[in-house]
Amino acid sequence: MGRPESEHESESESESATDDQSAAGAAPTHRREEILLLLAGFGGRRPEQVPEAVDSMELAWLIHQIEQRYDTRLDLDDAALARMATVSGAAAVIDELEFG
Amino acid sequence: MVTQDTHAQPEPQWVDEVLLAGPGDRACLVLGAPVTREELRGLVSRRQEVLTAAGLRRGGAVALNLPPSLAFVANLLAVWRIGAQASLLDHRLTPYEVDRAVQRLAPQAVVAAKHTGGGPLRGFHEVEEQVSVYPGRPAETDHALIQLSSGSTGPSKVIGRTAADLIAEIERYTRIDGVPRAGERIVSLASVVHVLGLVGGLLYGLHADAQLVIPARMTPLDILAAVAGGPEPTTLLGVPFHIELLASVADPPPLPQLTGMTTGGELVRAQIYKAFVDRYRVRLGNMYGMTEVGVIATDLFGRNRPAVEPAPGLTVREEGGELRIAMPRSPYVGDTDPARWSDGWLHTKDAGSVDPGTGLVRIHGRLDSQVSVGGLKVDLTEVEHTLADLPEVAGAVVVHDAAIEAYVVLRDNGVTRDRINKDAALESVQRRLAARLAAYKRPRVLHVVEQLPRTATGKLVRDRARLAAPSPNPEGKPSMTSTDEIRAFLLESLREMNYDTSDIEDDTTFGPAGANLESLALAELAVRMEDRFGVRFDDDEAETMAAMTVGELCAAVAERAATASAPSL
Repeated sequence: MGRPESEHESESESESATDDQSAAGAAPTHRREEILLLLAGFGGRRPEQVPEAVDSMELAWLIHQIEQRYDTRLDLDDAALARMATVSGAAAVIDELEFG
Repeated sequence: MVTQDTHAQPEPQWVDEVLLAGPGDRACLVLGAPVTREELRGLVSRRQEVLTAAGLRRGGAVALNLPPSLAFVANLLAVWRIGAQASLLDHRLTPYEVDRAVQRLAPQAVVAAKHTGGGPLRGFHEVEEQVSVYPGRPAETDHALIQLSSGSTGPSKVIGRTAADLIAEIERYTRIDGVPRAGERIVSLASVVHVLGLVGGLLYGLHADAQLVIPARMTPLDILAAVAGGPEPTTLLGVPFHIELLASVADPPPLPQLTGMTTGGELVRAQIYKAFVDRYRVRLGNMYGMTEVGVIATDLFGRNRPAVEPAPGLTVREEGGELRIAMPRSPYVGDTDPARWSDGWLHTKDAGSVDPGTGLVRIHGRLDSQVSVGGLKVDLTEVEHTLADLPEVAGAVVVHDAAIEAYVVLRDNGVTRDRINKDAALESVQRRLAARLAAYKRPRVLHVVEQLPRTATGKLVRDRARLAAPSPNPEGKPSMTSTDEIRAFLLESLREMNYDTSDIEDDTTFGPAGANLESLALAELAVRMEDRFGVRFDDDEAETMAAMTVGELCAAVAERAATASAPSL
């Protein structure tokens, strides 16, 4: 309804993604698929509907979903969070944590 | 056009009387560390000295380009305490956007972050600010606060609010049942640089002696930790996204101090609403407001969902399907578009209705191209024009459903024909967009298409389903129509017909127990579906559809569309 008066506040400078953007990244395919699956839960989407770019709302969602899935607290610094502005980047950061 | 001609200046003592009065030893703000009111008074005084030393005087004009921070609060109150005008520039704007805004506003100084400690998901920032003097001019109106709507050109883009306007809004809050009271806490997830977080969180909190707490990071664990950080009754203030985020917490800790959550903006889906209420067992309220007015109507206890009750002292009426707010004076600085304000009424551009018996207001959606991205307002026209102006782009249409998406025709200048050069052109488009538009305004996805669909009269089609539809195959037969495409078209049609689709799921029926479409609306929907998908409905179509769910109708239309001879449903 109507218009909100406020905003979700964050600094994520995610870039636009193109339809045919490559899935290339350092993380294994299964990690990328896991990230897509977790992001799809936000807004009730299918994994193939998740854009490559991860915006600030999705990032907050993703961090929490990973924390819940692995029952851990992600203590990521700002630089690591900034790298998570794409699905591939997020997969790479999570993969470096070496759990799951 | 109506031209603003008021040049009086705000009386500065309102800051001390309305905002900074109250017990000095209690923390009024918690941004990491608690800040007592006495400490805040000291911070404001010191910023006042710095700004005065930079030449700011009563009646002057300053732009604040700061992220949410203690520095933002101190500088804003200092500017007001001097009796000057503060223009707020969202810190996420690109340098290009800031430059255009400064050119338009012509402030005498800009306060920006020299260094900022912060990154993604930060609720607030550690800021070292600097004051840059500009060859601007003193305030030309008596407004204390200036905010820009999306797109900085054209009339009715610069919104001004006087100190009296702000005090009146604070007063409205004090008369609304369910807002935090003295001695309570507000954990705000809404930015203090926009109206909900600014007035509903910061200014009201200071006035009412309700402590404002901003979580370190906007993740559920940090948000819940902020709630748990004090024993006082605590209200969460945010936008619909935060409801979904918190509703996803499988096993939240006991939070006996949490009394409720209030969000500004569109309603969340019914299942998210239920999940949140089940999880936390507190009230979940909604507010409707605009930058031009502040809070307009509320339903803080969820009793009237999806309707809201006008805030005390505000008059809301419906005219030609649009909601209008009584406002003796135009809120716009400079030229006012009569389609936005006229004869004492603000035209909200929100489709809605007012129940003549109860006065309750229902909002059905926007009547213009403005959309909400995580609570931030974005004018799709600005995005579309920016995109279409790029040298690589021959045409563009920008749409919004769950996110902003753009359909782009690249300029066929001989370099975009092969794949490699197409990719290079796209990269160039993205790079240029990143320089011109803040991240939240940029399309999440760029679809490159050969051509943009147009109506018979040559107008660009903005229907997402048609834009997304693949080109006809070589035999000229239409491609298989998916239920997703049909659903997207159906929901878009309902929104165009001024229906609120936020609660509509696949199992929602069209009849009184569900979407509650009247027979005329059902007939219109049927005609639209026939025109779009080439299906045919039988004569008692309204009755047939009223008994169907959204999912059933989509499946039926897909099945019929797949056959050459579309029999009646």
